[in-house]
Amino acid sequence: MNTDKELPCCDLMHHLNALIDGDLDPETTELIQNHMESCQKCRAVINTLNKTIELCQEGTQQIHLPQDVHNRLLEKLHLCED
Amino acid sequence: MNDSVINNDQAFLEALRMGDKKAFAILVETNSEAIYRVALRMLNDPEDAEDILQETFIKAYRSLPNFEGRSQFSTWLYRIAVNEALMMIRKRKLDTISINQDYETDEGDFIPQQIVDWCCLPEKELINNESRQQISWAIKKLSPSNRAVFILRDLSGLSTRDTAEVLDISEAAVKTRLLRSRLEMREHLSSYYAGRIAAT
Repeated sequence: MNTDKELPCCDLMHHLNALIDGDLDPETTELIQNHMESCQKCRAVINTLNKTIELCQEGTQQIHLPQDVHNRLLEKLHLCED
Repeated sequence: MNDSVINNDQAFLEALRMGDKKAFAILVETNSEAIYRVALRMLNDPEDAEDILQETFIKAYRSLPNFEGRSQFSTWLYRIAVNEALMMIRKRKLDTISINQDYETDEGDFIPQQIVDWCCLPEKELINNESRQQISWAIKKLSPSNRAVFILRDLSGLSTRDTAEVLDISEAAVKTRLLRSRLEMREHLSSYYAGRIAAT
């Protein structure tokens, strides 16, 4: 595997989705990891991008269906148990 | 009963098609919280989210006799809910100006503006009521079509394929919109957290 190749910052942007979703091939993943070790800016972008998604997911998991909303839904659908 | 179980149950599908109330109640119980989350994230208003939730299941009930079972129930319900939410946004002109315009090149490439690495902030700085409001606000600032992709793909955990099916767009379009949404969200939160770092 050739790991001597260098990856420009702009190329990394094109791989972001796949990188975050774990869909990259091993060779490109290694290229990006090598690049991140030496490029503080790309490291910051990728770290904060991952953290952004994580925080959004955590915030969304905190959303629960309120009991009164649930009750009104069942009423509206005539699914209340009498 | 989870979604994969009810999707593989032919008797359950038939009961739903025949208007069986108990089967429909199971469908509601299995999916109502997920639909409410999507609606609330799309509209950022609890009353609007409740309206979308009710409308989704009313429409689903009416359409059940024609449901062919080619997609998962949850995918089908997401589709109804997101379409209803997008319609509400259009009707009420709730659309917002996307915050990405200054960050793109003429070729459509996104240039990160905020480079501060704020991941090192303590947990109580990262997650609190104020930051949760920032997240909700930033999601609302995404264009409705990008917002729908971000919510379905990243917040609801749908695959690229299922997201494409829900929104009736190509998988390539899902990937493009997802990247743009993720980067816009990162820009906004980076701006917010950089301010928190500067304030300490």
